[in-house]
Order: sequence, then structure tokens, then C-alpha cells
Amino acid sequence: MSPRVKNAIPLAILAVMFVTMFAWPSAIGETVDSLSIFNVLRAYADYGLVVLAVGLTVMIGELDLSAAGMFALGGVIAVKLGVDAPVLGMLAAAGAGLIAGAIQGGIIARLGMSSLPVTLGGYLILFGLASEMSGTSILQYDNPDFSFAFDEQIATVLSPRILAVIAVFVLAGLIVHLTRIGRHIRSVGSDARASRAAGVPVQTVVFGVFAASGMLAGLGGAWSALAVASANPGAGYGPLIFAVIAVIVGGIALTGGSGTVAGMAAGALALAALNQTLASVGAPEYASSLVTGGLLVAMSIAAAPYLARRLTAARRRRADQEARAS
Amino acid sequence: MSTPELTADAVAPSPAGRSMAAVPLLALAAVVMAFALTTEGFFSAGNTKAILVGAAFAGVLAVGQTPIILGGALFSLSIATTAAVTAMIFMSSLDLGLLPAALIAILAGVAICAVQGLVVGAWGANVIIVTIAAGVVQSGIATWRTEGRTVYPAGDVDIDFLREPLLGVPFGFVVLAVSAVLVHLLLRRTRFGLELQLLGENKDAARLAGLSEGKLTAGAFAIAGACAGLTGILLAAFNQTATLNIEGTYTFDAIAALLVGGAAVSGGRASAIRTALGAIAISAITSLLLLRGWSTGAQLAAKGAIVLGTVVVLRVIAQRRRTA
Repeated sequence: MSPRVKNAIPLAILAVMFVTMFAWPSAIGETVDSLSIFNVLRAYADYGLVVLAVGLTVMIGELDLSAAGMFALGGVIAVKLGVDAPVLGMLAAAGAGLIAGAIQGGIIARLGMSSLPVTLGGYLILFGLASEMSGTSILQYDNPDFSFAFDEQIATVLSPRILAVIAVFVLAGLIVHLTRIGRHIRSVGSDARASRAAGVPVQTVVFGVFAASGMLAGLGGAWSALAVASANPGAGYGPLIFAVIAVIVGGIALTGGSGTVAGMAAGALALAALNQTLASVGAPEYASSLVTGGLLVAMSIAAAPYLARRLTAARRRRADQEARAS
Repeated sequence: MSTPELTADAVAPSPAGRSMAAVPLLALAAVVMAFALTTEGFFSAGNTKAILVGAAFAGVLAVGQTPIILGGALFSLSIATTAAVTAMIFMSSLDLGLLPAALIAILAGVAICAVQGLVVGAWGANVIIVTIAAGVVQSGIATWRTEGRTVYPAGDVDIDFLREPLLGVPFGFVVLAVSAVLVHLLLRRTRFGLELQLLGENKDAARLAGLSEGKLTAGAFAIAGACAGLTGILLAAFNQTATLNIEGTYTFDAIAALLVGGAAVSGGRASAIRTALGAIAISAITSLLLLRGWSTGAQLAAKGAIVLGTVVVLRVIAQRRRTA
């Protein structure tokens, strides 16, 4: 598959999801209007930064499970510390994420460990802290005026928060696709040993990506919590599940070394559109968790490396046979 | 091509590796003892019993995960969800009688997990993502079939003996001891166990030896599923009802037990006996934190610190050994 075709797949999926979002509810007599698009963009703003966080770690061939924990903790921190000065709450959440990510990234890079057990420990610590700080219940934010202004509709389908998330994506896209940092990230993801031989500072890249992942997850949690004026640490893996599906739909190989920031955005928007469709047709909660879980199973199978190898081998065998037969 | 002879000597862990694996267990035991001596009520008979009962749930789950981590496929992140689902299946099939219901629950666990193992082993799908996804699907189906309601025992079969002590020992703990010994023998004394260990130690060598990664990983997951079914039965009997919530934090407790038991996250080294001891240590910690009034969140954070600390310490020791 040529890279151009590969990059077009997430956009095609996104287009299909958007068409479905209008067609299916309309077919059963439900209304779909600009509010649906606003809701999709809000869901994109809710989880977009976690998608970016997880996506960057997937690009270097790792997976940051702690992003879901940092998302929860970021929300709690922002809601607790950002009452008088919301920006201070955001900075505190992003800073806490930066530290949590840097510690885990440092361990992974220095000791050359798999990110899974390390970030699982990190997830439990961060998620546990979020539950402890919130008293295991939904935490109300005492500055509803800011929440209202932060997520107020502008230009029908946008809000300051949505614009802020888009700005972060644009910034991340510029860094990943136009600077040496981005080249290093992809090179570490495709072959860490060869990158080291070629002079890429592999440890620094791994450390930096996890620090960035923690910061993005913390900031994402802060922004979502501030927008709804409450922090709910009970979501568990929810944000992580959303992020992993979006990342795979976005065309980022779980083995690392490939992917674009635009793909991540397309994946996040496609999944947000699917969720909106399910909400519009009034699907019960278990149905959407079945769809989400089923989609994640399908995606993990689609992204499985041996399966692709086996299919290619089978196709080659068939082509050989046909060539011999003719 | 002849299959190379697999002997216990060829793949047995070195004595050095074995002594290293006991480090986190000993360290944790020392910490527990130090805290236990200063915590009132820890050594009471009632608390000891509570520790053993708690160790049984996470312990049987962890013993079941030992083959998975031995074969290099890490662990399942939804094993306690499977236990909760099998608890529901057990409860709702009790009208068929105790043994048929137990058998159905265990077989359901085997089927649910073996499929995940096959996808992971044969196709190389990411084990963490597959097991999280499978957990979401299982809770979705369970909510759908039960319409979100609590499951009560069908029929009037007496299952109370499952939570009564057997010869003075909590029944769940007997199940933990028996399953730990059985899985230990399976991993150390059978061809399947030795092949699984080779797969975990060196995937390329295992492939060259003609071993089937799909079958071995599916087998390892099937054992985890059987243990999840057993745990489901114990949980159902203990709670007298079954909901999705009875899974608690047992998935994470089981993983902590596995790692504290010295299992190598890269595969090739794990022992069901040490895992069971790890579960007792984790249960003792949980009880300590409870007695000291720590919240669920703080307990979870402490377990996360144990997970992180264990994998880091084991890794540092291993690296020192290699360079020394």
C-alpha cells in the first residue's frame, strides 16, 4: 500500500462515520443538526489530548497505560486548585502530568524496560491518587461561570475549549512532521537499535515522549473537567479505550514508527461521531459498550502483526499459483 | 525436522534467577511485619482469617495468570471481570445442581479466556488491548443479559458450605492451595509447561523448535479462565449474589501478586507457588491499610507503587548481575 493510500484510510473512515451520523438517525425519524456536530467536537475536545498522548507513545512502539490515570488526576487537580485562577489549575494539572510522565519515561528509558508494567503501576498510582483526592465521588467545580465561558458555543459548532484542543493538535503536528524531534520519534519507533547506531538520542526521545504524554493527559483531564464543572475519577480505562481505538483507526501501527497527528485527529473525530450516532438513535448503554469493546477487539486484531504477515504470505502464494496456472 | 528433546534441565531457571525472584516477596514480607507489629488488631484470629479469605480471590486469579506471564504474554487486564461474569453464570445455572453449575462456570471461563489467548498467541495481537476490550465486551453482554440486575441463586441448592471453613481453614484458601500446587506441577512437570517456559524465555528458539505460539498461549489463557471460573464460584458463594461489581480491584491485586511473586514481565520465569505467596502478602497489605483507615484510592495507589517498585527492583538486580 502506498503511503498516500494509507494516510487516506483514516479520512475515509471519518467520512463514513459522519455520513452514518446523519443518515441512520434520520432514517428512524430522529433529528440531527448542528448540535450533533458540536457534540462530536466536544467529545473530540474531551479525549483529543489523551489520544495525542497515547498516540505519541505508540509512535515510539510503546503504550502509556497511565494516561487514563493522569487524565482522572488532571481533572481532580484542576477542579481543586483552579477555582480562583482556572489557568493555575490547568498549569498544575499539566505540571503534575509532566512529572508523572517524566518519572515513568525515565524508568523506561534508563532501565530499557517495557512500558506496559511500568505504566500499569503508574496508572494505579495516579488513578488511586485521583480517587483519594476526590473522596471517590464526583467532585464539583466551584467556578461555574468559567466553565460556561470555557465551553460556550461560538460559530455554532465551536467553543474556546475546542479551539484550544485544535491548537494543541496543530502545534503537535508541526513538531512531529516538520522538526528533527518528529524524525527522531519515528526512527525510534521503527528500529531503536538502528536509531542508536545512527546517533539518535534514543533514551532522551523515550523520556521526552512519556513526559509529553503525561503532560497532555493531565491537561486533557483538566480541560474536560473544567468544561463540565466537575471531575469524575470513576471513568477507569474509559479514556484509554477511546484513545487506543482512535489511534489504531488513525492509522498508527502498534509496532511503532508510523502515523500522523492528522490521523490521530481523524480517528478521534470518527469515534466521537460513532458515539454521537449511538446517542442519537437512543442505543442503551450496554449497546455502546458492546460496540466500543467489539471495535477495540476488531482493531487489535486488525493491528496484529502476524496476521498481516500471514495474509500477505497467503496472497503471495495465491498469486504464485495463478501465475503458474496461466 | 526432528523436534529437539525438551528436558527440565534445558529450561530450568538458574539457581541465581530463582533466588532473585524471591527478593520482592521477602522485602514485602519484611515491610508487612514491621507495620503489622505496630498496627492494632492485625494479629487477631478474625483478621488472619480475613487475610486468607481475601488472598483466595486474588490468589486463585493470580495463580491462573502464572502460565500467561511464564509464556511471555504478560497478563490479562480483565480477569476479574471474567470472574464476575462466571459468578453470574454459576448463580443462574444453580437450578441444574451444584456440580453442573460449577462445571458450566469453569468451562465458560475457559472459553472466554482461551479465545483471547488464541488471538494474542497466533496473530500477535497486543495482549493488554485485547484483554481490556474483552472485558468491555463481557460487561456489555452481562449487563444486556441481566438487564443490569443482581443475579440471585437459581433453585435452592445449598452453596453456603463454599464459604464455611474446611477443617478450620477458609474454603477459598483450600482452593488457592490446591490450584497453586496443581498449576505448579503442570508448569514444572509437563511438556506443556516446559514448552511454555521456552516460549517465554526465547520466542525465536521456540519457533525454531516448531512450537505453536497460538496453541501454547491459548492453553495458558485457558488455565487462567478455569481459575477465573473457580474464583467466580467462590465470589458468588461469598457474596451470596452476583453483580459485575464483585470484581472489585482483584484484577490489579492479582497482577501485583504475580509480580511480587517474582514473575519476570519479559516471560520465562514464574512460579505458581510464589504467586500464591505473593497473593497472601498483597492481601496482608490490603488488610493493614484497611486497619489504618486508608481509602480504596490510597490502597490502589499503594498497590501501584508495589507493582512499579517490584518491576524496577527486579530489573535493576538483573542488570547488575549481567554486568558483574
